[in-house]
This record gives sequence, structure tokens and C-alpha cells, in this order.
Amino acid sequence: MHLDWTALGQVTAVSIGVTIAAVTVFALGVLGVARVEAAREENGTGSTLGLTQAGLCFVACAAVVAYGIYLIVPQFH
Amino acid sequence: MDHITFLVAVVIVTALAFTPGMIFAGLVGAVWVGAGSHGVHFDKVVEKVLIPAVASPVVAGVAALLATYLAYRLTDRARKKSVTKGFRAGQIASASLVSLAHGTNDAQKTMGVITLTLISTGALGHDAGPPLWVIASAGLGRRLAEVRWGVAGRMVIAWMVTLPAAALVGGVSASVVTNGGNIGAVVVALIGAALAGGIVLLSRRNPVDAKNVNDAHEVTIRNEPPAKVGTAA
Repeated sequence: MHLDWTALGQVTAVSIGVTIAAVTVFALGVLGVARVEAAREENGTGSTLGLTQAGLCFVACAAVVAYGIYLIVPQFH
Repeated sequence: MDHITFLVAVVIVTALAFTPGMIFAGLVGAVWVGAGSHGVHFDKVVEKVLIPAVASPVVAGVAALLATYLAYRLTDRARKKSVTKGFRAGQIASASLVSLAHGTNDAQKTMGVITLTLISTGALGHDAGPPLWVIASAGLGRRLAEVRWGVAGRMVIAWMVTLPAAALVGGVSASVVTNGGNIGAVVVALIGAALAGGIVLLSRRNPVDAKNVNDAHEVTIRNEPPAKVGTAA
């Protein structure tokens, strides 16, 4: 019985890696939103840093999701 | 109605009613009876089914553990309301993706099993792809077949009980059809339909809808009115 350990290892590494990366980026995006809303509470104005942070992170998350859907759906190949 | 059609009906009903793992176990049992034990490539079963089946929950569990821990650590000291709102939105997105991945996977398996049956009875040629009606009914049947399993331990116990049971059912059904001719096929079809219908009826007694889908996993089937407790005078 021959097991393709390399393939198994690759799938494991990519699964864990991408999951952690995507969730971390999303969490950073949420932190950006929190920064904006905290600034709004304190000063009345928003926080450009927070807005940029949130915007960039969520765009990155959307890109990961779009790529994942592209990989899954056979019509795209 | 000829016995091929009934056999197909049986396979479709059971395929729609049971989870893919059970379908697979049923296949193994049926092949074992139909072609002898050399018909089942057990080393391939271990290599391509059992090992991935054990490995994938472990990989998913580790990934989820690390990701959740990181999410908590990163957002620990931030403004609570924003964080809650943000992750609630994220959960909607990730739940949708889980549905997509699960659906694109399960329906394919169901279609594959049904097509396999059709090819093996000669109703389809060797190289045929799944017919359109198979594709359409696989999508329909999935809604009927959604079953919520519980905690991991309960899943494992369920697998350990139902996998041999499904293999047995597959084997017995195949033997009945082989030895019983048309009547055998009819009997198997009727029993399969009755079982599937019974399961659907039972599950309707306590339906899962949007309100209770996230509740605890233990559900009482029979609802008894609460006992009247007398108040102290």
C-alpha cells in the first residue's frame, strides 16, 4: 500500500497556512474598523489610518475568497 | 417496470438519504457480494478513503484552533462593539463558503454513485458522464438529506456503527437482487424507500430551521407538556 505522504503534507501545510493567514488579515481589518469607531467616539472625526487598514485587509480577504471560489468551481477552468 | 429501473430507484433514494460515507460503505458491501472479496481493493480503500477521512478532521481542527486563538489574541484589547460586529459579518461570509464547499462536494459524490450504478447495470455506456436528470435530482435531494451530526465523539461512534451496517445493507441488497430477480429488486426498492421516508418523517417531528439551527445538539423527539408545579400557599 503506497501512501503519497508528500501530497498529504502539502495539503496539510497549505490548509493550515492559508487559514491562519486569512483569519489574521481579517482580524487586522476588524481592528481597523475598531480604530475608526473608537476615534469617532473620542474625537468626533474618523481615523484615516484605521480606514486604510480596514480597506486593505478586507480587499485582501475578498481576493483570497475569490481565488478559492475560482479553484473550486469547474466552470472557471 | 423492469428491474434495472427499480434498482436505480433504490440507489437514488438511499444515496439521497444517507451521507456519502454510508454510500461508500454500501458500495463496498455490494461489490463484496457481487464480485467476491477480490473485487474490493482494500489497500486503495485505506489509502484513498480511510486515511484522508481521519486526516482531514485533524488538519481542520488544528487550523481552526490556531486561527481562533490568533483572532482572540489580536482583537483582545480593541473596542468590543466593533469587534463583535466585524466578526458577526465575517461569520456570515464563512458560513456561506462552508455551504458552497460542502454542496459542491456532496452533490458530486451522489451524482457519481448514481452514475456508477447506471453504468454497471448497462443503462449507460462505459465512458458516459452523469445524465442531466441525475445532476438535477442530486441538487433537489440534498435539501431532504441535510442531517446535523453532533460532537466529534458522537460522529466517530456513529461511523463505527453505521459503516459496517451500511456495508451489510449493501451486501444483503445485492444478494437479494442477484438471487431474487425482479421480485428481489422490487423488495429492496420498497424497503429502501420506506426507510428513507421514515427517517424524513421522524426528522420532521422536530424540524431544524433558522431559529434553532445553532442550538444544542440533543433534541427530544417527543414533547411532553411541562408538569404542573403547585405554588406554595
